[in-house]
Amino acid sequence: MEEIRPRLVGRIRVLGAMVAAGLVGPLAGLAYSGQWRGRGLAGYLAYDAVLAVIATAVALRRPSRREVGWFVTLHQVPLTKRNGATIVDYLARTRRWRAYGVVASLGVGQGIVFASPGTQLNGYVLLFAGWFVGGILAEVPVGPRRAGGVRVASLQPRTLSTYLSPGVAGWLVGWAVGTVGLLVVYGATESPLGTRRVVAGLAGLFALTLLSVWSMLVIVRRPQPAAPPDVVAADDATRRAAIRRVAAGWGVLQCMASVAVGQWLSIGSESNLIANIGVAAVYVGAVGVLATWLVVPTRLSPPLTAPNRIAVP
Amino acid sequence: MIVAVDPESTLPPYEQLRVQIAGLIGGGSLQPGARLPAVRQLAADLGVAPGTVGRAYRELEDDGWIEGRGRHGTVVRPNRPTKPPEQRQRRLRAETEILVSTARSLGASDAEVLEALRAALGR
Repeated sequence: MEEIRPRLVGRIRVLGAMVAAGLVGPLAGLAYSGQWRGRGLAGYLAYDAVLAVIATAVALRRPSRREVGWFVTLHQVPLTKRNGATIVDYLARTRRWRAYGVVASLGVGQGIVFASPGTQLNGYVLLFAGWFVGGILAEVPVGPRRAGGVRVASLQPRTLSTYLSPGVAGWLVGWAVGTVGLLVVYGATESPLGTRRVVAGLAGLFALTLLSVWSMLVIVRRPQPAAPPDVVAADDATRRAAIRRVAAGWGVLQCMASVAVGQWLSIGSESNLIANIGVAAVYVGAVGVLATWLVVPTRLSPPLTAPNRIAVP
Repeated sequence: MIVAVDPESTLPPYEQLRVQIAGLIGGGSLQPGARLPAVRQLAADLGVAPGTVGRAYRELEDDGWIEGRGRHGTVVRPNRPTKPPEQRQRRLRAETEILVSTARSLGASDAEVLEALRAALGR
């Protein structure tokens, strides 16, 4: 009973947080529009509650042996009695926060529609953005707390290039340049509505880039535990996984943006050449989404640094 | 390669870092051209203020152990310039005073200090 109670309290806390994450958006939207009646509010709230329960069930599922095995194989980290908890906690925490992010993004979507009924939102982009931001919230503040006594640290430098290969960096920068280029073409050829979209798009891409680079730098610099080599290797693997995920999310959102701009170009332009560029951008962007999602988190990583290529008995 | 900071020590943290890194370079564990971690990284790992690590790096740079190379970070210098004899003597006296004050705070006798010094010199 004593063991069950804290677990139950933990689950209730996660459910409460999930409900709160899902309700903030719609309530803010309703408060903004002031239309609390006539929208089937009870139905929406019931829908949000069901969603929160499903997301809680997903968030609370412990990582399976297969998932842990896949992680240690991908990151070439030996699984030991000491570092197992680091890996399992990392996988569980990131899953929980991504679920919060997805639920919050659905809520924000509802809120936007409540506040401004004519707004059209791309559900895929919204869900992915929630997943991405939830992941960042899980990754960034994590770090060992410093206890008293003697503190030790390795003199092995850590930089972004320790975890991301030049190929991945080039891929991400290439997409950023390409998407900005498409926005500029759209701005040069379209109406004042297009100009507003261009400004919003450029601001969004700039904010996304800042958030992604800042997150990756925070993850690189977060404190390394003063622990045995296998625990340090597990910590390094979680850092590597976190940076790859942020990079992949950044890339996917850029590809999604290029698909959106491609659609605007292909539909709105009177010039055949520009319309064809738009169609090409849609196809290339769609392929880019898949390629980035499949390749960046799993491949194209620089070789492991010497201290992390350890063999633990 | 590991460095440690002891909050209980009579030496300030930046001095502890300076002594250890200089020792690693002098002993050949850190080779010329080896890159040191960024100030923020080392400060975060040790749980000290960035200024503490920054001061240790500055003093190591002034002593000719390391050099800052802008965006390429801080690296161990290939050739450590020798100091003029008077400056060297002054530095040696200052370091010895730190050693003696640490030994006094530990309650060590003069004989014990000399014995430890001989052992270190004989290594």
